[in-house]
Order: sequence, then C-alpha cells, then structure tokens
Amino acid sequence: MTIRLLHTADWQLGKSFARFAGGDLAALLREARLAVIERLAARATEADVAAVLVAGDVLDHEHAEPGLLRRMVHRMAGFPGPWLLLPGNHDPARPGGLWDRFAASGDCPENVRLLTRPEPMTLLDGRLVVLPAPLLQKHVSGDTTAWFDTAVLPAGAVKVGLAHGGVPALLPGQSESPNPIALDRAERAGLDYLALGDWHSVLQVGPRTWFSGTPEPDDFTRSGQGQALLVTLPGPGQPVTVRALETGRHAWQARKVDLGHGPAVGAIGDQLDALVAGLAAPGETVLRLTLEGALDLAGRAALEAALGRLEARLRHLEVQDEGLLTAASEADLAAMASEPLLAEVVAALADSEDPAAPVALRLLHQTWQRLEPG
Amino acid sequence: MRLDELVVEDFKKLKGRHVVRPAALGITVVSGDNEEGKSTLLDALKAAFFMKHNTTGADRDAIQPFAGGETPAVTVGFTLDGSAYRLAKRFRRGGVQLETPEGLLEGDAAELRLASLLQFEWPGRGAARDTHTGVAGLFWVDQGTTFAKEQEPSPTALRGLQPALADQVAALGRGERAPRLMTEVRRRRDQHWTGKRDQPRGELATLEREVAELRVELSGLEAAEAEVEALLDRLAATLEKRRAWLAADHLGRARRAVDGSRSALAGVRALEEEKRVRSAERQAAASELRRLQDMADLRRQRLAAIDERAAEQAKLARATAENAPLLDRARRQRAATDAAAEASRRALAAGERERETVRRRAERLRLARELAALERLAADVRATAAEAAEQQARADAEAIDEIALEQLETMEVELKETRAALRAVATRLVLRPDRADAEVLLGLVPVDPAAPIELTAPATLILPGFGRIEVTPGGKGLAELRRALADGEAAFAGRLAELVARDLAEARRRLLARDRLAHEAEAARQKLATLLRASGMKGQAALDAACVTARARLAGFDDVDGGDDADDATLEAEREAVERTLAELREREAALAEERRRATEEEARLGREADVLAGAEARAGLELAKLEDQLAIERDELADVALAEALAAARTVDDRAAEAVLRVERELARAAPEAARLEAEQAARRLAQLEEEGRGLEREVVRLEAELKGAGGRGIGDRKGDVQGRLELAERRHARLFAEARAWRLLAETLEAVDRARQDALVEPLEARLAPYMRQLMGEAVAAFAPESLRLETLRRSAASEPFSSLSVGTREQLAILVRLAIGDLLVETRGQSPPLILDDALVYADAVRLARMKTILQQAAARQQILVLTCRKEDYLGLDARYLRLEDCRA
Repeated sequence: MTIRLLHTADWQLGKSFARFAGGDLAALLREARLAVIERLAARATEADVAAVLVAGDVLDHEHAEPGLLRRMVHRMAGFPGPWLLLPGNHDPARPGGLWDRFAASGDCPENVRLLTRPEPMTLLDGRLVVLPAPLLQKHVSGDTTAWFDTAVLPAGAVKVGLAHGGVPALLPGQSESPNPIALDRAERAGLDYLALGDWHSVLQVGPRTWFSGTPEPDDFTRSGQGQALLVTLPGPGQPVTVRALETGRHAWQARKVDLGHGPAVGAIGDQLDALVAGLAAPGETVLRLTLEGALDLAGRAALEAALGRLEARLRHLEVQDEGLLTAASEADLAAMASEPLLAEVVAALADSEDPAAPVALRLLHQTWQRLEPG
Repeated sequence: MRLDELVVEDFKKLKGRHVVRPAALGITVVSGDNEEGKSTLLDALKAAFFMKHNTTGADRDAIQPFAGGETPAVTVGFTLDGSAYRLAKRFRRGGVQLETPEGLLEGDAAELRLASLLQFEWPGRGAARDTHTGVAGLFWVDQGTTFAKEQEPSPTALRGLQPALADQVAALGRGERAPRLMTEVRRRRDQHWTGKRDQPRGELATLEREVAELRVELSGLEAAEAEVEALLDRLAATLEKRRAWLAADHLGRARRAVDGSRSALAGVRALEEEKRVRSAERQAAASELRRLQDMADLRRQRLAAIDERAAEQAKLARATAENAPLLDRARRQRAATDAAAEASRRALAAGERERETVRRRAERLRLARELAALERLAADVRATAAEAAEQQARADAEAIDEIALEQLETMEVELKETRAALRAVATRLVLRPDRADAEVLLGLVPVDPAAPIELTAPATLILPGFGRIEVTPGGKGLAELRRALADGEAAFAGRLAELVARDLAEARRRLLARDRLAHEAEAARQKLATLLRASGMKGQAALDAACVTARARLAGFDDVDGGDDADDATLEAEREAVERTLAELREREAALAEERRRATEEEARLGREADVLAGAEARAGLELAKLEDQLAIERDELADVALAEALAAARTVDDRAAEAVLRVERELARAAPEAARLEAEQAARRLAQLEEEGRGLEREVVRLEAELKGAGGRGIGDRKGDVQGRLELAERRHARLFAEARAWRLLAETLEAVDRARQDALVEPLEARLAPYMRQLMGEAVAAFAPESLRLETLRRSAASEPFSSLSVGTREQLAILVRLAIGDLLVETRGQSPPLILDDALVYADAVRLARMKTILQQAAARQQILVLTCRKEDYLGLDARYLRLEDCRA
C-alpha cells in the first residue's frame, strides 16, 4: 500500500543566467538544468516511485523557444511513469498559453500530465489522488489551494496536494512569488502530503508540507539546493517519510575572505588556496568570493595574481571586492619616491577626491613596477 | 671649461700657424679685418672638438687651407673641472692626440673621450652638427646667427643643462623611470580617450555602443514581450468569453426558437398550399366553363361563317362568268395589233438596210476620190524629188567650188603682182632703129623693134646688121622675182590641172553653173516640201502609206453593188428618198405600238380581274370547305347537344370550387401568415447572428493565436534572457573598463600636471639669472622660456607680451647673448665653470646705447666667465677691461 513519490520543483528550464552571459558558463548552466531531469528520472526509477511531482516553474518563462519542451520530454524518458507538471508563476497556465499549445502540439507524451486545471487526478486505480493548484496567471492574490478543503475525494485514497507559491506565515516576503498558500493547508484539507514549489531550497514548512527546492542549484545565497524529495506515503492518514536525494551537479558557493590589514604578499595566496581546499568539487563550483580587508599596492598586485590562479581552478569565480580597500602604503610610496616626479604624483592622487584616484594609484604602481629600472 | 690656447695651422683661410691665448677669465677681444680669418678661428675651435680627425668628404674639404698643400691642424689647450687637457688634431688618419691628466689618448679613444668631456654626441658619420654639440655648441656662436630662431638650445645642450638646472630646484629631477612611465600612461589613456580626453575610443567606445545597442534591443524585446503578454491576456479573455458564451447556450435557445417559428410557419404554408390547390381547382373549373362557353360560341360563329362564305362564292362565280367574253375580245384585239406591229418592224428594217446601202455607196465614192488625189500627189512628189535629186547630183559633181575659185583668183593676183614687180626691175630696152624694118631677134625670135623690150633674164638680141647684143639684167631681187614668178605660174597651172580647167575664166563659168544647179535642186525641194505640207503628210513615205491605207479602205466596199457610176447628186437623192420612207415607217410603228399597248393593257386588266375573281372564288371555296371540315370535326368531338349539357355541368363545378377557395382564405386569414413568416425570419436571423458571434469568437481566438505566433511569443523569453545577460555582462565590463579608463585619464592628467609644474620650476633659476641682465638692458622687461626647450618665447614689457620672433634682429641678438650669459652664470654656480662664450662679430645691429649696455653686461659677466670677442670693429669694444689681440699678431 505504500506509495512513493518523487517531489521536485523549480526546474526553470531556459533560465538565461544573465549574469554569466557572454561566455560558455551560462549555456553550461542552462544545459545542467536539462541534464538534471535525467538524474531525476534515474532517481525515480531507482526508488520505484508512483509518480514524479513537479511543483511548478517547470520553465523559467512562458515564452521559451518551442524546442525546449521537446528537449525536456526527451530527458524524461528514463522514467516511464507519470510526470505531473504543475504550472507555476514563471509558466502559468493561461488559456491558450504555453501549456495549452504544448498539449495541442502532439509532442506531449501520455505519461506527462499537464495539470492546468484545479481538478483532482486519480492514479494507481484510485489509491492516489493528486489535487493540483495550478497558477493560471503569474500572480494571484488568493490561495489557489483553498479548493483542496472542499474537494470531494474517494475514501481510502492517499491525498496529495501540489501547489506553487509562498507561505507568508513562514516566509514573509521571501518567496519568489506573492501567491500565498496557507501554512496549514495540508491539515485543513486532510492531505497526506502537500508538495510545494517556489522556494529554491529544501524546506519543511509543516509535518506534511515540504518545499523540494530546485534540483540544480542556481543561487549563491541559499543552501539546500540541488536536491529532490523522495516521499513515502504508507497510507491515508499515515505519517509521511521524506528523504532528500542529491541531484545537482554544480555547487554554488558564497565565501567571504577577510584579508586583514596589510597582509604579507605570500599570505594572500595561502588564504585563497585554503579556500579552494575546502570545496568538495572546485571544478563544479560556482564561487562568489567576497573580499574584505585592506591591501597596499603590492598586496593588491599579489591578490590579482592569486585570483587569476584561483579562477582557473573553478567553474566560475565571481569576486566582490567593494569591501576591499586598496591604498598606497608607506612602502609603496617609498618605492616610488625614488623618482621625485612619481612621489609628487602619488601624493596628488592620495589627496584627490576623485573616485578614480585609488584605481589610478594602483595602475600607477602596476605600471611603475612593470618598468624595469634602467 | 676654460680655453687656454688655440693653435690653428693651415686651416681654411689661415695660412701658417696662428696662436691665440685668451685671458683665463674676462674678455679677450681678437680683432682683424674682414676676410682676415677671425671666423676661421671659431671654425677651427669647433672642428677641433666636433669633427673627427679622419673625417672625409664635404666637411673635410671645407677646412682645407685655401692656399692648398698642407694638412689643416688645430691644437687646443683647455681646462675642464680643474684639469688641463691638450687636444692636438691634424685632420688625417691617426692625427689626433688628447693629453689628459690620466694620460695620452689617441685615435677613436681620444675622440670618444672628447665627446664625454664636453658632453656632446658623435653623429653616425661626418662632423657633429649643432644639434649634437652639447652645451659648448650653444656658447660658440657663428657670425650672424646669434639671433636666429635655430639658436635655441639643442637637445644635447638641454641634456647638458638639465643637471645644472635640476640642482637649482630641490628634488626636481623626473627620475629614471618617470619619462617611460609617462609615455606608457599616456598610451594607456589614449587607448581609451580621444584627443580631447572627453570622448571614449577603442574598446571603451565599442563597449559603450554595445551597451547602448543591447539596451535598445532589450527595450524592443521587453516591448515585444509586453505585446505577447497583452495578446496572451486577450486570448485568455477571449477564451473565457467563448466559454461563458457557450455555457449560456445562446445558440440552443435560438435554434429552438427557430424550430418553433418554423413549425408555425409550416401550418401557414399548409393553408397556403391548400389555398393554392383550391384556387387551382377553382381556376380549372372556371377554365373548363370558359372552354365550353368558348366552344359553344365558336360553334355558332362557325355556322354563320359557313353561310357567309357560301354566299360570297356564288357571287364571285357570277362575276367570273360576266368577265370571260370581255377578256376574249381583248385578247383578239391585242393579237391583231401584234401582227401589224410585226409587219411594220419588217418594213422599217428593210428601209434601214436600204439607207445603209446608199450610205456605203457614197462612202465608197468619197474614198475612191481621196485615193486618186493621193496617188496624184504621190506622183508629183516623186517627180519633184527626182528632179531635186538630179540637179543636186549635177551640182555636187562639179569640182570647182567657191574655195577653189578663190584660191585660183588669189594665185592669179599674186602672179600679177610678181610680174609687175619683175617688170619694175626688168631691163627695159627701147630700140630706135633707124630703119623701119630693122629686124631684131631676141634669141632666135623676132621682136617688134618699135616696142620696148623688157628683159628679166640674160638674153641675146640679134640685130642683124648690127650683130648681137647680149643683155644681162641686173635689177635688185630680179632672180628671186623670177623664181617666184616661175613657182607661182607652175602652182597656178597645177591647180587648174587639178580642177580640170583651162583657165580662170572657165573656172568662173563652171562655178556659176554649179550654183545654178544647186539653186534648182533647192527649188525642187521647196516644191516637194510645199506639196507635202499641203497634203498634211510628213513625208513621201507617209504619203505612200496613206495611199495604201486608202486603197485598203476602198477595198472594204467591194461588196457594195451598183452605183459605181453614180454621182453625188444621185446618191443624195437616193439617201433622201430612203430617209423619207424610214420616217413614215417609224411614225406608223409608233402608232401601232400605242395601239398594241392599249390592247395589251386592256387584256391584262381583264385578265387580272378574271384572276382575282378566280382566286377569290377559290379561296371562298377553300374557306368554306375548311369551315365545314372544322365544324364536322367539332361536332365529331362534341355534338351540339352534348356541348350544351357539358356547359351546364361545368357551371355547377365552378360554383363549388369558388366556395372551397373562400373557406381556405378565411382560415388563412386567421393564421396570420405574414406575422408567422416574420417571426420565423427573425428567429433565423437571430440564430445566424448568434452563429456568427460564435464564429467571431473562434476567429478571434485563431487570430490571437496567429498574432501570438507572429509576435514571436515562443522564444522571446529566451532572447530577452540572452540579451539581458549580454547587457549585464557588457555593463559590468563597461563599468570596469570605464573605471580603469577614468583612472588612466586621471593618472595621465596628474602626471602631466606635476611634470608641467616641475618644468615651470625648472626654468626659474635661468629666469632669475637672466632678470638682472634684462633690467640692465631693457628696464623692466621680462623674458619667458618654453620649459621643455629653454627657447625664448616671449618678451613682456609694460604688461604687453611680444613673441620673440617679432622683435628686431638687434634685440633678438642681444637677448640671445643675455640668455647665454645667464646659462653661463648658472653653470658657473652649479658646476664651477662654463664653456667660454665666443661671439663672432656680434652686436653689429645694436645701437650705441644698447651696445654700451651690452659691453657693461659683458664686462660684468666676464668676472665669472671667459668671453672671447671676435670683431672687425675693435673700436666698438675699446674701454673694456679686456685682453686685446690682433689676429695678424697671432701668426707665429
């Protein structure tokens, strides 16, 4: 009687990864979001689930190029069971919209069910009833799961809700969409499990209510990404068991490094090396590195060199150095003071209120250093 | 540097050895006349230092002694930084020696050491030019060039001055890497900014354009996305509208209304159909009644017509019978007139033939006469022509013509003239015999002794009794005349023989006869022409042809009988008789024709009447038969009694049908068919309108879907994401590059500002040393230098600034000397020494006041510097505390 389901959401296929556009990384990350479907299919097959529930935002936007859904279907082939796709705020089920066109296209296989209507769907010969709450437009003010409370359902069936939106009571202002879902909807509607999408990390919001997060990470700021939930339902009214399965390829990491004040040039490289050593798979890591501290010009030059080496070891390195001060030290000044003209220039730049002055000072130092004496 | 001794040997203008030993400090004035070689001293000094000993080519040639022969040589003793040096240079291979405190140097080592000592540079080849001669070159000024613009410090001079200047300003040195750094920073700045530094260029400009273009593209995509969103909203609204419309079942209700109205309309249509059937039945009954009534009417009319036609036929038969005898008589009358007319025609034809016969006889007679006349004329013509021909032939046979006669006459005249001339010169002998019978023989021929004898040829007279007298005529030209006479007589005789004439008279007679014959021939031809002209013939041949034609025409009348002997009167009488007969016959024929016409018309009229009567009778008979046949057929079809019975029955049926029609019409009026029809139409129209509305909604859906497809809804999000990404990236790259570019610009500007300030500071020591000289020379005037070149640029006097180039030659020269003195002072102060200032014929443009001031200034400067004045005007420099040398005294 036990029913297993694989709960996932927020695939957001076709996401542009605008911040990485211009290189290969954005394309690679987009491909990763398609590739993760294959791993989801493999997990589903391995766990012998009754269905894969996708709790909204299958696509990043409803104006995706037509081939994307066909590629998605192709990637689903590893699991022949039902894939229940719920429209979310990124891909709402507007009449005549994306999902209607896909349904009419003939490209949608039978095992891929588009839950574009708030109507119960019965599976496993009536032993499992799925109540979908599709979003028909990007934003709704009401709770699309409200109808779960009054739905007339066959007795003895396991009841699973599928919805996409935020839970204001738990995550005020933090969800991606304003579409509110009652925190106690599962209890009020007598659901055995409420599968939610929209929050991109795995998050349990109630005894029977979970956000699965996105199966392929896409954010530096959230942990718990890159997973799907294997939901085990022993039977109606029975306690549900939820286990997170790793699905993601890339690790999106945010690290902050305080370089201190005037560190030794060699120490800068050591700190960054230590940082890489702490990463599980540097080659699959998309790293945001926030630097703090204060460097003299020589230290800054050393940092630039060390960052260059670090970038080569990672999938991607994003450096935020707004908190890192760079100033000419006494040593810098002394080094250039041997040239009377440069000493005056350094002093002028140091006193300048021009926002470009610090950079100019750094460039002066770099250029001065590159010029061999004599 | 101090110049201790200058020894010049065989150098350009200076022949032999010249030794100049200037004062160690102070002024030395070397004077000499023009062209004596003062400037050569300066040239020699320059050559010693700046021209290698082994120099060849033009530079070497230029210093060759003008007197030739010797190798130029210069020896310079000088003190530098307290050390004594002696440079001996003979301009040939291996001709240099430099004595230094460290020892003697020779060859290239000496030259290199020299350049090092004086801080100048050797060029690649040839002598060092002004741009290479360092500070010393600045102080050794050629004649007339002190004021020239090119006299600004050369690069090597500047390099030599820089340390001295820098020493004057604390820490003003640029540093070793600063120039290269400035170059690099400027290069980097110029990579990003245009010449005016306010417009981006290169990658920065490209990025700016890329950002702008991407923003535009993104804006377009957002607009397109908004359009797609709006279309999606409209599609959703339309789909909802369609769903609600379908749910309201407008079409179902309309269709039911249509069914109801159609049912009511069907009842009306059934009544209308019954009415149509009843009406048709009524029309059929009425029609049958009318048919029978028409049949009865027709039966009556038929009987009346038969009676009428029978009466008419009888009447026509009577008229035909009456017309028949009249017609017979008319036919006979017409036959009689035909016979008479025929007879008349035959008589007329005979008359016509007779008239033709008479006419032909007359014609034949006329032709015969014409032929006879023609033949006579032809005979006359032939005779005349023969005569003319004969006379002409005779005339033509005569050999003598006017020309021949004229020739003869001319020859005779010439003979006469010759004879007369001969006689004139002949020897005339007049004999006067004593006796009357004296006999005289000329030759053997006796002559009349009484008559004079004219002799033109030697002759012998025999005078019997006397003897012989031989006479030889001797007149002038006698022999020629005699030959001419003999020739003329021979020619005359020959011509007469040719003409077969005995003499000239016969020739004249024969010519007259010939003319007469020709005249007669011409007269005969005139006659012939007259004959032909009178006959109208163009010639004899035409006349002959006319005769032939006339004969042929006459032969055409051979068939005419009789009358061969008739004359014109007889023939005319016959013709008139025939014409009269013909006139009578024609008159009769006309009368007969009229008579026949009338008879024919009468016959025709009566014939037509008979035909009309016969036709009418026949038609009447036919009509009567037809009427009777029709009546018989009609009666066979329906007998008169049966017709009457059927008529009564039909009236009954018609009455009943009319009643049925009235009943249906009353029921139809109750059913209100027009209203039922309008209701049905309205229901149908409403249904159609609703169906159209439904189709409109479908079309709107399809249209919106198509519009969505056309608006590129699918994939627009991807493109937008892509553009957003590229824009974000471009903006980040632009921001980073812009910050760097701004930093490069700031750095370059700061470097340049600092450098400029330092350059300005660098000239301050020079300006400070120049200022006292300037005040002394020109009052409060201040000279300003270009920092980078130490070139005098402006002179400021009384708040007005004047470019150096606009000053007078004299002032420029004076200022240039002051600048050198200031530089000399600076060098003395900072380096302890300066090169000796050598002025070659300078200050020649100075007025007396300026010259005096300049001398005072030179005297002041001489306290610190060694000054050598080369001049041809020694008196200008008198009064100085100076060593005065005369060039001629320097010759060793």
